[in-house]
Amino acid sequence: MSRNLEFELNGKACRRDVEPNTLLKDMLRLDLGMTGTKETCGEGICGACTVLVNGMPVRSCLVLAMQVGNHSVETIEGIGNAQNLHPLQQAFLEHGAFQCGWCTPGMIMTAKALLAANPDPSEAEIRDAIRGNLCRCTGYVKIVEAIQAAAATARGSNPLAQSQ
Amino acid sequence: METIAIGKNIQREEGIGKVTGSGKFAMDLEMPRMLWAKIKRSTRPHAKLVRVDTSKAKALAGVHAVIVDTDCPQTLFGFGCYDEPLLARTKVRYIGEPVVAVAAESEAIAEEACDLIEIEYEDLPAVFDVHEAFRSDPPTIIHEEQAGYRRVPIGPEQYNPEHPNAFGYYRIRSGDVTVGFEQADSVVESTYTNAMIAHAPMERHNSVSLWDGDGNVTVWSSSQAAYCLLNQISEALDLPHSKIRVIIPKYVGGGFGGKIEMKSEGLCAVLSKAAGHRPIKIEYTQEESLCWAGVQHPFEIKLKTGVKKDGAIVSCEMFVLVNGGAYAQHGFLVTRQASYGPLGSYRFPNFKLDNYVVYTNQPPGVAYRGFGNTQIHWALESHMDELAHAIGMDPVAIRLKNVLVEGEINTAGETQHSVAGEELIREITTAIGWGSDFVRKDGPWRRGRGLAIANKDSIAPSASTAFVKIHNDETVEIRHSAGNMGQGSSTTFIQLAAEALQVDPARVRTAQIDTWVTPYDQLSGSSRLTFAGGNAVLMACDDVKLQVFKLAAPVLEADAGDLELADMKVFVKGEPERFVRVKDLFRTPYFTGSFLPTGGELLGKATFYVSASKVDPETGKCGDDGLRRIFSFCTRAAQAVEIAVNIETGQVRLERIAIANDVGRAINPMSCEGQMHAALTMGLGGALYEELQLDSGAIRNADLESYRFPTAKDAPPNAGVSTHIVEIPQPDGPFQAKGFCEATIAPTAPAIGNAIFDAIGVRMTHMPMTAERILAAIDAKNDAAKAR
Amino acid sequence: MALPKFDYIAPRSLQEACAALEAHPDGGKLLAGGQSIVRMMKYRVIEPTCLIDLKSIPGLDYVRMDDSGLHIGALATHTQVLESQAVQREYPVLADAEREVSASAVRNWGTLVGNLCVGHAASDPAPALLALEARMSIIGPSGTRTVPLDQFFKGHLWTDLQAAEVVSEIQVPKPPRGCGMAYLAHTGRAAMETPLVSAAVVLVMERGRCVNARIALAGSAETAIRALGAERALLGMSLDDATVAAAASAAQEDASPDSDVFGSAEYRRRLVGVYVRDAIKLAAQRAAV
Repeated sequence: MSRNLEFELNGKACRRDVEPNTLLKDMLRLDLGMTGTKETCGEGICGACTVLVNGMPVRSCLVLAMQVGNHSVETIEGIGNAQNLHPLQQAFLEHGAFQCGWCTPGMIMTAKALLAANPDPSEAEIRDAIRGNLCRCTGYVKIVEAIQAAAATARGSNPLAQSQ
Repeated sequence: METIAIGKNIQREEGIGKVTGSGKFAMDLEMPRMLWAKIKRSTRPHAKLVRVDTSKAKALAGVHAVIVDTDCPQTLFGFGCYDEPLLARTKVRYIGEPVVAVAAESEAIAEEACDLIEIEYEDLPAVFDVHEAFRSDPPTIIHEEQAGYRRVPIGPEQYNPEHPNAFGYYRIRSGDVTVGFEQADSVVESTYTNAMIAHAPMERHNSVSLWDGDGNVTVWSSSQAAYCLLNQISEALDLPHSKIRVIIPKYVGGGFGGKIEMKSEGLCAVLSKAAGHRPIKIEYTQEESLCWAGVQHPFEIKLKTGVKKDGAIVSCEMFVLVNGGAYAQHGFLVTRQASYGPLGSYRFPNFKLDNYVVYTNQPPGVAYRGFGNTQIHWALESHMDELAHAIGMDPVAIRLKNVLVEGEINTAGETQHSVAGEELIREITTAIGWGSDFVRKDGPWRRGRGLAIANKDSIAPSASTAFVKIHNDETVEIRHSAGNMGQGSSTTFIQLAAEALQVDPARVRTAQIDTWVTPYDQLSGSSRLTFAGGNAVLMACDDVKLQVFKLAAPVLEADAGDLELADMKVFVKGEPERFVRVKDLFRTPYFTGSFLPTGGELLGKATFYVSASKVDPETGKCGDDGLRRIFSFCTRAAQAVEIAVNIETGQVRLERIAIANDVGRAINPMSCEGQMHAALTMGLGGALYEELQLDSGAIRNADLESYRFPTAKDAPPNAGVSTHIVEIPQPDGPFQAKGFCEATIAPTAPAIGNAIFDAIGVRMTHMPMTAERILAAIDAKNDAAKAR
Repeated sequence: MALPKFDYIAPRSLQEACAALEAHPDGGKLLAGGQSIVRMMKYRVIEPTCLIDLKSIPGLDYVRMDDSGLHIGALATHTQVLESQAVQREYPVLADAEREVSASAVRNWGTLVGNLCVGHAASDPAPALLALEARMSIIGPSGTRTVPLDQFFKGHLWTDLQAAEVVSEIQVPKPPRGCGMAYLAHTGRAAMETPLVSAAVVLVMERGRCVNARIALAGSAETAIRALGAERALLGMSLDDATVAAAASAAQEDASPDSDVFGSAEYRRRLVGVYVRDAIKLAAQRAAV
């Protein structure tokens, strides 16, 4: 039997009817057609499904949609678009911090939360923050560089940003 | 020379789609009236199918089709050895083999239907060990009809009744190894093995198939080889190519060789027809994707090598047994390819190799980044260090002594071009500080350094075709069927076309792969796209330029041969003010768009074909035919590592790594570096962590918690990673470039193995070198020392 | 992986949750963060017919200190525990253990109580809380009871929770004055693995001798356990290398590990020796002399 669910999605009020056994990931992907959030392992290990709830990274493949009632949910679609990229998205592009791109949305959402809590993270802190976002392609080198660059841009200290 | 696009770090064409999540991968596709498919798989490794009862599944509400083998065309498909049915026929040959397929209104209903299917098996003896399977009198014969299988001949006779489970064989003979061993000052024998591992792409295997009412089959797939897939669907469904359309989205979440062959696309087309011509989506579960979509072959490699005191290799004999799993798939090609692996690195005056791939009742092996080379170099490069130690020579020196040089004819008779043997070794040894002091002891940690080189031959014959269209708005569209699964091939093509046509790369794009639109490409594999695909693109650009010049010549009152093109202006050589814009070659009558006065379209078309020399099936060598080419090109790699081993726990920490690859010419240096960093996921993963753990044909760790590959904390800090792009021109490459992304992972495991030996004097012979195995090896060494 | 259908109840208090469990004796299951049970449901390891969702009951996610010690509410997430000043200052072994758990996304939504209620031996916080002599406060149809954590863990995936009972909080007594604490875990990779083996130690030194030692292990038996033999080996002793080695050996005797896809029993036993030794030494360094 479906239930009424009200929450905030990417800054806008959202109301859906969901079955209790609907996962947050499936509400986003199948019900709302927002396929930016991906899934690989389906059991909370790989991080491809990471979205932000109340600004915190969560595993949307393990969270029931019902549980985000009255919370705010942020997905990759909400942080920027082609005309107006988020600094993290811009940095990932400039630094080639992706290859196949499947881990990228989850990686960026995790990085966004990191920089909100810690605007000047060390490399070790970055690697610790993204330790739950598995990448099969890149070896993490350029991902770390991109997060560092985005952090610098946000702090106003990135020469790349200043030259734009 | 200043370039527009070559050598520039142009951002990926598909980048915005990836960083915003707006790009649609195959798994993101949804279609009206789409149904979900699930496969009921065998739970027995080798058994007759006594009874398959699908009645309860068919009766379940929401189920639209349930099919077994008798509902499918009675064909056998394969990749040169045609041995595999779409669904199990009279028996099953591995745990995981598809037996029944279901289409239903939701994934949950399809799963429930599968649970309702009853299968009765009559067990047959099963064989898992490759030695047991290889015997002349094995416990069981897995493919009784093997002698009658249709095959593509690729070398020596593949079927051998002396080894009824072997389905592939390759041999190389050069000189006389027995004489060579007599000349050697030192002879070393060793055996190396590797575990079965998985590609584990982050986008699990998935597709949508539609068999429409007109008898056409359309497939959308997360695939890396549109025309391979099309060909296999054609064979499996017994349909002509013209009735099949394969579409691969511009976004593919990794392949690594695991998405070349047909997976369930053909099977789901049959389901589509049975379900009333509705689109059928299938998403492999994590377990299916890891275990039953193709794995990397376990190899057992025996080497015996004789060297002189000065380090020169005199003689080498290799015997390789490949555990092929229950169906051939890529097995016998891997056998052939891997056999040449050693010959691309070193000089072997006398060489003998026999390589068999053998059926077992385990999940089938397929192409995996390196195509057998990762396994071969694990053995060869560990063995090279053993040789060095046997004669008291430095591991760098022994490699420099034997490594091939530019223009040399190798043991197989092939002329070696674009050889970066010494250069790569120098780059990495300088970067790691080879020979310099370092702190070896750090509590229970012991540091060591090691290096390894590798090479990968890219297949030949090889064919790639391309179309290049110039639109009336002066943008350029490349139509190519090469799959970009993350390695950035589409951007490479854009850069090549931009350079050839002298336009801004931002004005060039690639079309989505669609076999109704984009022409033939052999496959995205064998590191071949930059070379073969790139050359095809350049040739197609030449062709479109000729068309432009032919149209512009009368307008400019000049000879077509006197014209040049840049920035979409056609101008007379030496007279830039005499020009016409390409868009002005189109005519625009009233309000119905524009057209070209002749020729229809500005559409350049080309085929790039690399032929190969004839190879003597008895020796594996090519003769003096003026070509001396068995493969398209060879790419080489080298890595040096500094590791620390914990002698109490066996753990290994990778602290520093220098990664060098020869790329011919770096079209996009940032992309090249990115490919080289794969050493830190796939290379390191295979070296230390990854293995599919088998128990009588069942895989015990089919999830991403227990099938382990590196996290961001397993890789060294960026300051410990250096990448070195070496450019030695590939004479016939596009702007002298070539591919290289398979060789990027092969040196990692042997470099680490060699570093472990340097650190603690323990030689690991099986990969992955898990902590538990290393500790056991340390114990064995200590016990042996005590016993003396 | 889809989830099967189930009934869903969102109680407004723990008492209501108990009542809901009583009303669904066969297929009712509590849901908090779901980081374990949703996973188990996907694999059909458990198949509840009714989920009782505690997540939105207000006021249960506290982490606070009072005179008796630390109180961790039923819905406190790993992150809330980890980031608690009180935990970091007074119970660093628990903070160290929580820091090892999975990834931030799992810690942000999964609860500490939920982790313990799964009853898996390979839990990072379990040995830390055992070494701190934590107790589980449980409410049920017959009232409230308190169970020491080492009696709460009964076997593999088996706890002392009875029908219709809910853990309301974890109570951790004030740690002994001047104690030193350490938590060390062995994992194959550097992240994203539950401990193959781990050791938590809380000990007190007085005039150069150990007067109080609590040693607990994960991954070394059917449940997380106290290594009582190892603790006895330290009591009254100065912690020289020989004593520490004896305690490490005793811990290996205390352990009864199993083999699985992550490692063999023999290897785990070997690691127990290494990690207990190192955790004792680290805790001793941190203890007041």
